[in-house]
Amino acid sequence: MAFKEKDLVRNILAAQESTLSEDEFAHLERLLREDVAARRVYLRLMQIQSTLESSPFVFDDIGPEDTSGRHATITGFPATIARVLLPIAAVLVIGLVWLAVRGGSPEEGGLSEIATLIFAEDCEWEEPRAGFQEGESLPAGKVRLHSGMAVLRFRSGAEMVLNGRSSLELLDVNSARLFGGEVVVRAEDGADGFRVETPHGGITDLGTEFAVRVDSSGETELHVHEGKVALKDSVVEAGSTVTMGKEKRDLSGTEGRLAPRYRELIERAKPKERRDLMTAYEGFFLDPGSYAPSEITEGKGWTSPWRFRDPSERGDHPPNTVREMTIDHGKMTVPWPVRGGRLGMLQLPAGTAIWTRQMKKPISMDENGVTYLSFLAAEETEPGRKDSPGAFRITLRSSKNYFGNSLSIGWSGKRELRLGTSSNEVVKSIRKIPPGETVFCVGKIKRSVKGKDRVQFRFYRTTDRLDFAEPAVWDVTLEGGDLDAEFDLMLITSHGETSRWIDEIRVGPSWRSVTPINAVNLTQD
Amino acid sequence: MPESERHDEFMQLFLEHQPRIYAYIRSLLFQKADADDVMQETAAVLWKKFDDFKAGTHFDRWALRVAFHQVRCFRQKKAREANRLQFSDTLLETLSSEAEEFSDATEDVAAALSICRRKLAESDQRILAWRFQDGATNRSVAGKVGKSESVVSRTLSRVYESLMRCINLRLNYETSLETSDGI
Repeated sequence: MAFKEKDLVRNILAAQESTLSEDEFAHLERLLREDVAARRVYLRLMQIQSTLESSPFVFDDIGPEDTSGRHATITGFPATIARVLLPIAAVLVIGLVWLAVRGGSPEEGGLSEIATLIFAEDCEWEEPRAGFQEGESLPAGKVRLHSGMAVLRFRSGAEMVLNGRSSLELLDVNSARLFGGEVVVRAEDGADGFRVETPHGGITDLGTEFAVRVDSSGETELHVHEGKVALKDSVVEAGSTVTMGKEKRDLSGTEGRLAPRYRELIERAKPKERRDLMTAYEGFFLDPGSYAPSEITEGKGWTSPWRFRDPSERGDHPPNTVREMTIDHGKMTVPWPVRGGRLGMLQLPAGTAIWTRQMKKPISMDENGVTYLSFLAAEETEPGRKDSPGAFRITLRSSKNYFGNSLSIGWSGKRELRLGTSSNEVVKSIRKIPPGETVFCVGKIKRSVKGKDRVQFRFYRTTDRLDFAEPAVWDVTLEGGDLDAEFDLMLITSHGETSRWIDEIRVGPSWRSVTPINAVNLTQD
Repeated sequence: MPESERHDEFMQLFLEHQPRIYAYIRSLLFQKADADDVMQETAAVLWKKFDDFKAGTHFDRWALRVAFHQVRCFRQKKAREANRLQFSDTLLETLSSEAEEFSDATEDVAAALSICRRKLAESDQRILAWRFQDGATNRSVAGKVGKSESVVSRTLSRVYESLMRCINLRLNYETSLETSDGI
């Protein structure tokens, strides 16, 4: 059957819109049944639609007129996630499903955020982003770095290093416009397609890494480190350096300045822990033995020692069956460069154990900002032991309104990670805490006055690498909960038949303030 | 193997092949909402039957077989709905085998599409973007752009045609490079 492609496309679209009559539909069916070329058109069209439906970031660079609309939603999970998640993918699924069930709009859920500042060293930012801090996220708009080095992670997964004075505009989750300065872009599998607009045209990543420098006269130099990039009318291969001014020149093989690589820049910055920024710390650095809670006064950033709950704080909750705080040594395996987990850790024996301590600096959920919380934990090993009822969690509450809003981070008796609030909003992971193994747990609390708060949590096994910056993917994400409160009480709760240990509790304003970073890890890929 | 590791293994495979599985399902069902439902069902069945999957064999082929079965079940359930037009079983079978072959190129098409759609006029890009926002219809897009629904339909039809042309050109060009042996 002869057909015009134009008519065929129109009829397929009309069938999707249910505006095709039965006769027209029968004609379409016959054409597709009899003509392989028609089927190829149909299948290509459906392929385009499925790609557009499952790659929401493709459309975020439409421009400011689009900002009032909702972004395309994710069908299943975009390919970006697929390549990045690997073993922890499953638990992100839970977070996404939860969002879908709650029906929150993407904007409410924070999808209008384009990029997160995952690393900043000696940075001085200019307006409108002066005071921009590690861990904070940005919507579309201009960013000017006066000095220092910063790494932005776009939602598409692409990472961009801003090296020294630079000025750019974040356009969408997969593109930015560089007005001046030097940036290095690393777009791993799944983030390819990242685009940098320059005064002399766009540069589209076709895989991995490139550097762009725009000088004060607007002259643009591109160096492709790995993979290749597409310019308007050509493709530039790895190892090539070209200028993109009036006169396009190939500088490959000349003595032109060689732009540094992504990892070189990070290593040059020598990322290190920022323990100095911690707002609260507890290392249980005591001799083995049993102590009354009031005897444990060490640590930093607390108003008072540990204590049991007051009777007024117990409510309907079960009473403590554990009357002392027991300090053990040597119950954890700790490959990370922390003092904790060796000489003193708190035992959480079988039964019900709940202790609380007040922080000097509250976590104010009605202010914009980011707070991180980390700790080491281990559960006893019993080969063949089945999951038992019980739970472990760290809960944040307000001393001014104890039974008001609260947030808890921990895991169930099945060892599924769990984030919960007092409003019964709960997300769980599928990945489980391995029994008998020490884990490093870290939570991120994004506080927002106008937008929705977001809490993320993940654990690292002893074989996992702790990178210089927060992970792109968390095990669980709780978003949009009502968390307005001033959390100044930290509760440690453990109940069930399982013994556990906890140590090295840290609270701080950045990933590096609560996470031990091993410099050696930087050279590992 | 412990269940948690088994699950990690499953998720790794599933997420790796998810775009292809979805593209395949989408080719057999007209409506995105239907494809979403079947995709969810397929994911659940794949996990339930993951013990049947033999490591080292092709997860995607196995997944597409499961997906096809789910599409058929879905069609049977929906067949009784009034005014619901759907392809015959014969055409579905034909499309299924060709869709499987087409889905091999899902990643290449996605890469080509990200380049091709930037070549569209900005107004066309915007209409396409609005059309793919969650819950959007031709009518809602028409309201946004201040034009009639039929104008939006014609525009989208034209946009798809040019995207198809551009993608086919790019895919053919890359294939010719791969097969030229450097000559």
